[in-house]
Amino acid sequence: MKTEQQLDAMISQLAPALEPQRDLWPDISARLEPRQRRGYGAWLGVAAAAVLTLWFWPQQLVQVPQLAQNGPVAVSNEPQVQQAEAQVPMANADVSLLAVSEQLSRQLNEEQTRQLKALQKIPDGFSDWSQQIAIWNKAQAQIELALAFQPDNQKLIQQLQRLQQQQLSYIAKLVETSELT
Amino acid sequence: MQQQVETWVNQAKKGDQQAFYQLYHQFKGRVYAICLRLLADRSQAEDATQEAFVRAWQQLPGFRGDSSFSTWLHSISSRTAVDIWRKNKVMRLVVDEEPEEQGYFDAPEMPQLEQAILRLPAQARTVFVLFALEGYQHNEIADLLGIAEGSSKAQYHRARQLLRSWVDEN
Repeated sequence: MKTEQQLDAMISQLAPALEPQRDLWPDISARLEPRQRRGYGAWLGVAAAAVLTLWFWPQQLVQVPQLAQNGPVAVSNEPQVQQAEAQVPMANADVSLLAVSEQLSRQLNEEQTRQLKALQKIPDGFSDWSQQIAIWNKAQAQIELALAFQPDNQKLIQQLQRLQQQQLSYIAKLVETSELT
Repeated sequence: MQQQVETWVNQAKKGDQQAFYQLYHQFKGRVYAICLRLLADRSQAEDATQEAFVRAWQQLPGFRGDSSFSTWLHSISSRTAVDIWRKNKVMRLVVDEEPEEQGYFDAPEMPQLEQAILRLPAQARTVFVLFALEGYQHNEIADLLGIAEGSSKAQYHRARQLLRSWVDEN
């Protein structure tokens, strides 16, 4: 009987490659589908852009009046009460836009999840997609809850945007891989 | 060569089948070797090799280069062959316990150890190839094959013992 060392030596000498006896390429070539450049993945890109736009839009609306307020306040003698009153509708608009944005974001997620469930074959490496989506949804819900109390918190808003971007990228990758499978 | 492979990979990602043919030409021997050693059947190994390259083509857009293309392709090849191995196992309904008969795989041109590996019982062979030749750990093999980690270790030692005795016969 060979020793363990002798066996190891023989294993290390095994050829890394063995040649098949027939040409396998024609069958492989016949099964290669052309790459799809547009499709569901492109739709997801548009959706991602829409969500991000919805996030940036209310922030810009809020920033412009804040700058306008900072100027006149320093030189104006208008009562503080008027300034406070002027801020109320803007704050309401901010909250309202935030709510609309969150609502649309949720609808988008629900639609994506529905379409993902309709996929017939989940590609390798994405078998736990529903758990992944659930984790992102949970994290986003927590940030949205915090935003309800601090709607102007830029760090929270950026965090939410990042999570949405990550989620959309993951879904786009899943769908793209699935389309090619 | 590494740079050339990267170029082919990038071109194939964009849909260039000619570049993918170059990758096939470069790696077909390695992929076939994995498949043959895992399945011990030329016809099935050829089918598995084809399937592995088709999967590689499909998954290539998601390849980010975190590992080398060769490592990535090896992983796809192992998994593809193991998928076929699993189907075979289901079709056999029983796990083989006895070594294959001598001459089951008639390949006199192959080195002695290569022939002995192909004679191993299916599960012991698969564990041996994945651990000793492909660098998988026993816990990974257990996950891949749906067996306990302890079984993977036991099968590996059984395979080594059989190989040591068989190689010594000749």
